[in-house]
Amino acid sequence: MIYQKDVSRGGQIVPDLPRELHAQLNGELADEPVLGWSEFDLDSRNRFSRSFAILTPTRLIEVHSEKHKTIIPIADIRSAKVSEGLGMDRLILQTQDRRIEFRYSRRFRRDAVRLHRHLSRLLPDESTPKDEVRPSWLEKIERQAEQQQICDKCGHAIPGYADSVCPRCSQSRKILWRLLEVARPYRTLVIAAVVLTLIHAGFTALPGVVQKHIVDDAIVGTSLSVSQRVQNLVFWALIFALVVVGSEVIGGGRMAILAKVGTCVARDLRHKVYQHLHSLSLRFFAKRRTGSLITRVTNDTDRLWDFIVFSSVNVVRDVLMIMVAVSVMFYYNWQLAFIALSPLPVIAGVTWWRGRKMHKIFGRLWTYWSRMSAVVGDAMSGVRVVKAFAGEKREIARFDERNEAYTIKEQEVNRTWFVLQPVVSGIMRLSMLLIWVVGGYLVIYHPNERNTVGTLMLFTFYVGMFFQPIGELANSARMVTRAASSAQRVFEVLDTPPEVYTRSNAIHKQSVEGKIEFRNVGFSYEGSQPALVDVNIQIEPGEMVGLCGHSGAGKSTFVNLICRFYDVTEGQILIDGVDVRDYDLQWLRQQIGVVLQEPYLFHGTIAENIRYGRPDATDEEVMNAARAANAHDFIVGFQDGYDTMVGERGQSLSGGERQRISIARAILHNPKILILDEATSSLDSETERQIQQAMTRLVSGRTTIAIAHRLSTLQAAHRLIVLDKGRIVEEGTHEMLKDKENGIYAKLFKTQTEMARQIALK
Amino acid sequence: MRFILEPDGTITLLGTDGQTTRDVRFRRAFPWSKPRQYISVRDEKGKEQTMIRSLDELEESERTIVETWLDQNSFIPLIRRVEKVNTDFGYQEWQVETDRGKVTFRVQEREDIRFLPDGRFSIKDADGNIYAMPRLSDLDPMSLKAVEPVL
Repeated sequence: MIYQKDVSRGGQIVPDLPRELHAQLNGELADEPVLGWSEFDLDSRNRFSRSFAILTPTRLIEVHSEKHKTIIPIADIRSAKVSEGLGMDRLILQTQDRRIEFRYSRRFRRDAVRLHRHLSRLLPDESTPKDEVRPSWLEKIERQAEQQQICDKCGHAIPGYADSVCPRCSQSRKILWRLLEVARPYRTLVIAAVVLTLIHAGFTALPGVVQKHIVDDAIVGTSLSVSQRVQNLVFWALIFALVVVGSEVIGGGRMAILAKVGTCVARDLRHKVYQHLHSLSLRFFAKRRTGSLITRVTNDTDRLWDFIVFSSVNVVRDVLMIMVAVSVMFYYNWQLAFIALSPLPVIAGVTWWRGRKMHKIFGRLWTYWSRMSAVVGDAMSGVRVVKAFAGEKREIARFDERNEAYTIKEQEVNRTWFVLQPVVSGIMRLSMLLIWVVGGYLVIYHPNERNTVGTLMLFTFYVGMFFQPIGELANSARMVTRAASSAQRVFEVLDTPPEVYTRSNAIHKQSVEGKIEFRNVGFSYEGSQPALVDVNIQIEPGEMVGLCGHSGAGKSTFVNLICRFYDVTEGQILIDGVDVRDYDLQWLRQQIGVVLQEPYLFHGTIAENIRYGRPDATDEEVMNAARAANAHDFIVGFQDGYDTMVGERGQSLSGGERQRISIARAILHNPKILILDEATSSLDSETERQIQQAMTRLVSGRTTIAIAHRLSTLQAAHRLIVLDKGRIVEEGTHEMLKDKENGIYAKLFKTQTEMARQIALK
Repeated sequence: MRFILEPDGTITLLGTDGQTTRDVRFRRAFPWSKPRQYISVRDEKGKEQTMIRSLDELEESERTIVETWLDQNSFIPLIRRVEKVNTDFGYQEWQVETDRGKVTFRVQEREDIRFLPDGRFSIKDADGNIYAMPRLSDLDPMSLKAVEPVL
C-alpha cells in the first residue's frame, strides 16, 4: 500500500489519500475538497473485501475498484449511524429509498468513526454539534500517530500496530546496523578492540607453526646435528613462550576494552530507553503490560550490548581464525589441506541444522516455562483469595499440570540434544582421524619436506582450531535473529513518537487564574463507545465543582482530559481561554495538582514523597504542608519521623494516612487547579473529619474538580455536575438537586446517606 | 418467544407475556465454550429481555433469523489454513486463509494467543480482531508446521 503525502487541490490540503485510492478515483474528484475518507475491509457477507468511502461537501463516493464506484449525494442521506457488532461494526446510511452499509473489522474502526463524524456534520440532524472547533492539524497528526504513517525511506505506509517502525525497512540486518550506531561514541575503543582481536587471533594461530618446527627441526630433525637440534629446540621454545605471553597479554587487553565499551553501551541504551519511556503518552502504556516494558529496559538492552560488544567482535575473530587456519594449511601442504577440509560442508551443515532445531525447541520450552511461572505469579498475587476459598489444592494441581508439561518438553529437548551432540562431535573427531590416516600414509610412503611428522601435527592443531569457530558461526545466524528481536522491542519504544500533540510554539504563562471551559467536548477511548458526549461547562477560578454519577459515567475521563492525559476527540477544552493543546504540556501539568483515591507512594522517605511535586521545598515547608494536611502529628509519632521509609517494602500506612500524605504533597505543590479523586470506601469518623479538614484547607483559593462520594464534599461544592453515559444530565447545588424527582443525584445522595447512617450505627 | 424480521433489517421480539421489544440484539454468553447455548436477547440499551437456552430449542424459522443475525453481526474469522507465520521482527505476522477469505495479521505478544480448554485457540491481532483456530489435530500438516514454532 503506497500512500501519497499532502495531495493539494484548489488550495485545500486533502487528508493523505492512499495512492491506490487515487488511482481508483481516476480524476473523479476534480476540484472538490475531501472532508474525510475511510477504508473498509468487509463485504455484506462479512468476508474480507477492500473498499473505500470518500466524503466531499456534496457527495459520498464509495469506491470498490476503478470501474466500480457508487455516488451518494449528501442531500439524499437522511441519517448516518454506527452500529456496533461483535468484532465488526457497520456504518449505516439511510436514504429515501435504500439502506447502505459499510462493514469493517476493528482495523478500520477509528477511520470509520472519523468519517461518520465528518458526515454527521453535513446532515440536518440536530444531535450533532456543527460549530465544532477542531484544529485541522490535529486530525493529520492523529492519523499519523495511528495508521497512515509513511516510512521516509521506502515510502510505504507503516501500520499503526508497528508503532512507527516500518516493518519493511527494519529488516533484521538494518536493525543491527542501527544498533551499531549506539556504539558510535566509543568507536576509537571499538576499533582498538577489533585490531587487538585480529592480533590475538594471529597469536592463537601461531603455536601450530611453532609446534611443527619443534617436531621437524629439533625432535625428529634427522638431517641435522644434535647441537643444532638443541639450538633449534631452545629457539622455538623461546618463541613459543613469547607467543603464549603475547597472546595472553593481548587477549586480556582486548577483554578489558570490550568490557568497558560493553558497560558504557549498556548504560547508554538503558538510559535512552528509560528516558524515552517517560516521554510517552498514557495510551502507549495502556496498550502494554508493565512486565513487558520492564523487560525492555533491563533484559533486552542487556542482550543487545552483549551482542554489540561480544558477538559482533567474535564473528570477526571466528572468520579470521578460519582464514588463518585454512591459509596456513594450504601453505604447508595443499593436498592434505584439501583432505582436511573435505568434511567441512557436512560439519557446517549439521551444526547449522542442529542450531536451528535447538533454537526452535528452546523457544517452545520457554513458552512452557513461562506458562508454569504464570501460575505461580497468579497464585502468589492472589494468595488471599486462594486461602479464603481454600483453593490451595486446586492451585497446586494447576501448577503440577504445567510443571509436568514443562518437564515432558524438557526431556524432549534433552533427547534431541543428546542425539545430535554425539553426531556432531563424532563427525569432528572422525575428520581428525582422516588426517592421521591420510597424513600418516603420506609420511610413511612419500616422506619429503612437505610430508613430515611436524606437518601432520600442525594439521591436527589447525583442524582442531578450526571446528570451534565453524560451530560458532553456524550459530551466529540464530544469535542475530535473537538480537534483532530484542532490538525490535527496544526500538519500538525508542521510535514511538513522544507524547503527541505538543506543538513547537507551545505557550508558557507566568501564572494561571484557573478558569476551565469545556466546549462541545466529546471523547472515546480507542474508537470504542464514546466516554464523553457534547459536554459544555464553565468553571470559574476558585470554584469547587463536584462530579457525580454512576461508575463509568465519564467522571475519570473528565479529569483525564483536563490533565491532558488524553486529547479530546471532539470540541475543545480551554484553560484561561486558551486551548489546552496550545499550552506546553509540562507547564500545564505543573499547574494542576492531583490527589488520587489510591495515592501512590514511591519507595523513599515520607519527606521525599511530600516533596515530589516541588523538590526544592525546605523542611519547614514540608512540615507546614503536612500540618495543613493533618499529617504532621502522626508522622512525627513514627519512630523515624519524616525519615520513615514508605512505599514498596517500607512501613505500611493505613489508607487514611496515605491520603493525608498525598494531600500534603498537593498542598506543597500549590497548584492553581486541583483535581480530587475521592475514595469510595469510608473511613472511621475521626480520620474522616481530619481528612475533611485537610481537604478544606487544600481547596481554598483553587479551582477544584472533585470526583465526589463523601456527603461533606458534595455539600461543600459550589456546584455539582452529574454525568450519565458521558453527558451532563444535571447541574446545580446540592440543595437544588437533592430533592429533584427522578433525579440521578437525588438517588445517589439517598444511597450515600443511607450508607453513612449504617456506618454510624456500627 | 418469537422473533420478527423487520423490513429495515432489525429484529423485534414478541415476548411470552405479549410484550414486544423492537431492535433486539443477541449476545452469546459463552461464545467459545457453548456457542449454541445461552444466547442473551438484549434491547438497544444492552438490557437483557430474555435468554435463549439453546438455539436448538427454537423453531426452524426463528432459528434462522437468530443465526443469520449472529452471523451478520459478529466477526470472528475461523482459520482454515495457516500459510506462514513470520517472527523475524519481534512480533508474529500470520498469513492465513479463513472462512472469510485470506488475510494477513499481526500478533504483538505471545499472550495474545489463548489456549482454550478444548484445544482450540483464540488469537487476538494488533487491531483487536479475534480469530479462531481449530485444534492442532484438525490442522493440515503444512499449517501445523507453520504454527508449531509460535505455540
